[in-house]
Amino acid sequence: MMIQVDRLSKHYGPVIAVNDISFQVQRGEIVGFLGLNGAGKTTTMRILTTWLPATSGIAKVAGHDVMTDSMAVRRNIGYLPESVPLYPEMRVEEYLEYRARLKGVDRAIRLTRIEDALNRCRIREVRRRLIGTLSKGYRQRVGLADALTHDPKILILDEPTSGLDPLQIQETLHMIQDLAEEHTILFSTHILSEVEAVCERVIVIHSGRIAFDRPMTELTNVEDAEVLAEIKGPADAVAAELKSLEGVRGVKSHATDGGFASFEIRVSGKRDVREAVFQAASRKGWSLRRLEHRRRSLFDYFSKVTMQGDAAVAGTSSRENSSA
Amino acid sequence: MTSNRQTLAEAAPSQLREDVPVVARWLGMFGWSAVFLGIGAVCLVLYGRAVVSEEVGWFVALIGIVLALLHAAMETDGMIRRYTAIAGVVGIAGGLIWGIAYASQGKNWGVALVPFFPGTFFVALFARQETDEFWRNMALYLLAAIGGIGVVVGSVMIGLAKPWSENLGYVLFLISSMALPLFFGLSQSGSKQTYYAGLALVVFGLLLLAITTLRAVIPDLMHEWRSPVPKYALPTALVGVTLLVLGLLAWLVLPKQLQGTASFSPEMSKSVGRIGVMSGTAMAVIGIARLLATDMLRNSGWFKTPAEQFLIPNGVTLGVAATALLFIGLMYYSENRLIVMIRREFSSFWVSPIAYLVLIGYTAIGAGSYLWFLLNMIHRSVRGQPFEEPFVAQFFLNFVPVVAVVFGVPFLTMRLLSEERRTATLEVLLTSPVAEWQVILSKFVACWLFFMLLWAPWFSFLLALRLETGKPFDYHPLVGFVVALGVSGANFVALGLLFSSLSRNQIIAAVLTFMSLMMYILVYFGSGVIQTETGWVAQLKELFRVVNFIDMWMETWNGKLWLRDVVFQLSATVFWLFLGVKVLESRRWT
Repeated sequence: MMIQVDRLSKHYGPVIAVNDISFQVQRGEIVGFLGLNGAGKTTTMRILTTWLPATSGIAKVAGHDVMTDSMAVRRNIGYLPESVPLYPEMRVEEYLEYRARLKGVDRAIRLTRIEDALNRCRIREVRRRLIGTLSKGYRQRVGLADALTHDPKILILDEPTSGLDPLQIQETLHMIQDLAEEHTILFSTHILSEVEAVCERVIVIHSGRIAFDRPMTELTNVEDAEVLAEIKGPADAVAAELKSLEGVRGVKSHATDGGFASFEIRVSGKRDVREAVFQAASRKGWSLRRLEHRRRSLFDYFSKVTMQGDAAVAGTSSRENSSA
Repeated sequence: MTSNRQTLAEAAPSQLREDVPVVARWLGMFGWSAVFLGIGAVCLVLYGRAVVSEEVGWFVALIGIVLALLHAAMETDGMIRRYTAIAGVVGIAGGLIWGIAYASQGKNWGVALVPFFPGTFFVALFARQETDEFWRNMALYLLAAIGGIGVVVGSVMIGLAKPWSENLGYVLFLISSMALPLFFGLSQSGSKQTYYAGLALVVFGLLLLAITTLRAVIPDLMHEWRSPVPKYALPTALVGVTLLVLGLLAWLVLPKQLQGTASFSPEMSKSVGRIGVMSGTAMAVIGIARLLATDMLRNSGWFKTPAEQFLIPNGVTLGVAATALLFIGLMYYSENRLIVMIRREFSSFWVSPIAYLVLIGYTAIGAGSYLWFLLNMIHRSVRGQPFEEPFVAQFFLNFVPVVAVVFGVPFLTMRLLSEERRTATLEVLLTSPVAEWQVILSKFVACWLFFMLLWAPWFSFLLALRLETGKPFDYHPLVGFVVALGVSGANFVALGLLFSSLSRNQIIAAVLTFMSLMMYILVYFGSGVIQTETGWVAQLKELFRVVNFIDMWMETWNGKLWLRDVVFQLSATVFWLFLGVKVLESRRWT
């Protein structure tokens, strides 16, 4: 267990930034931390990196409590804050060297570790430049290199791809994937496709609560899928026919243009019923103009949990808790 | 997976820059013309065909050098930069040949340092910008060689010189030691070369410090030890030997006997034993040496005459120089987290324009103050008035240093923590394994060192006074004044640091610091205004006298350094630092 958060809350005066959240991250996992602006992502990360204290609850990183044993926590994490604060007057390699010394990287391996970080983050070509003269993309990567120099067990990255161009985003994501072989990574982002691309697990946080916490495999599972069909024919008869197909749990229909009606067919199990639907339609002589397998994307989940009111969120999160 | 991805390098510089440094090149052209014109004028003077006086020639050349250095700093074309570097090397080599030629003829070779100095800066500027690894390293090695050789030769010359003689060792040391920070600052930090150079500097600094101390102490001590053996010698030797024997027992023998018993651990016995061995050896050596010294020294006839004066000024100068070298070396050699942080803070002063402005300002008002002081002295001697010792007090005891402190310190301290708060680098710093007290202490030490450095020109003016007039003045109160300046400076810097930790706005931090320092001055006037001799008002006056720093500074010129004042300033320092640590920690209070 690399990160263990138990009923964590953080209040800024009357404002509740993080409200009673609990989650765990196992060794070697890549966890995407999603949420709208102000949802409490950064606050949670700041508590985990010992920068801020929690109002209540317990957080343990690498087995150490963030409040009582913060030095041990800090030795085990690499942290990239959202704004990537760097000293503009230092040169890139000078900065990395300084930071490596602060983090107690032994002199014998320090230069190799810095070279490694420079290579991984592709900032070799700017190693002698003043940080103040670097572009946003390079600064982001210098910050990332800094988080890597001491080879920490856990990487906590707050929006590591913000401000990068599409190519750099791709490279950074690939790097995060490479790193996951040896590190546990918790990173936050706004861009859902990034999470779909690299994460093994998604945690959506909404107004201070965990709205959603599932492995990616569960999301892409066919289990939750539906088939959408548009069929011309007597609506009730079609619905009844579709319901009678094997594995179909329910059918919803509503009329569309040109005498067609659209049917949302909910399927149980991992069965693909598209072929059966086509055969049923042709058997009965009904016209079929659309037949598609609709996988629920992360965006559906995300918009569902963030658009709904807080009550629904509370419901979801309590269900998540009970299932976990 | 990593190997087959294509890396896309960002080709364009992120900051817009002028393609061709037009202004810089005009400056450079004017500069080099002025250099040649000036030197030409000087040569004409030397050959007896003066057009203008020699001073004018040197002045024009100096202006030219400054312009040429500006050009070299701004030049973007690699080829032209290399030409400036060649000019620098020519300057260094020319200075070297010139100096050796003059020295071998027994002439004053100080003038040879004139081309040497700007040459070093040309090479440093080249090393800063050169992209070719080989030539960059060559330039850096040249800087290291200049620094290393110059410092060693300079130290030897200072060490051998007669006290208060006109001594080129000082000049050589000062100029060549400037090459050392340039070398360290421009080298790749943490590389092997800086590590070994740092180590060498630490060793040399320690050696120099040890030699200086021994040379200052041993001859005097030996001369004194020609007197009959005092009563303390025999007991000291006996106690020392006993302690040594007991310590050895506790260190080597006892742990084996103690193996397995729980009441007294072997490790404890070992450490106690080691302390016993060390103190016992020291006492035994001193005691036995003292016992034998009288006869040996009298029989051999050594140290018959009192030792010639070494401590003032050569010993002190060498000691300060050795400490400075040790400091620089340690910055690049040590792995200690606190020292690493102090180094970053200290070097960050040298990239901010404000620090340079304060440094130039202090030098300028120091020079003005010195000039005023000098005119005053001349005036007095013309009128035949006697000088009252310590007459250098008048250089320091006026409103100028007080104003300098009150206006200077806020500029130094304001950005220390405000900047880190504003740019959120504090978050990065305090989520790495660094404690709050280390952050505060490193910033404090770095800023205090810079503060003390600001006064170096003031003291160098006094050195010039001593060397130029050739007449001694009473320097003893100066020692007390430096201590007073140090402790009150620590107080101000700690106060400024506290205010800087409170706000993310530098201006607010500066204004708060300035106002607090003004309070100290108000308190001084307050203690002067109160005339009552009894009751709580009188006690208030006494309190005001202790709290304000101006009274302490004035007392030092009477040769008094009150312990209560020093304790007050130091405890105030510790208190402000403590509050500063608490301010940083308070973010984690719930």
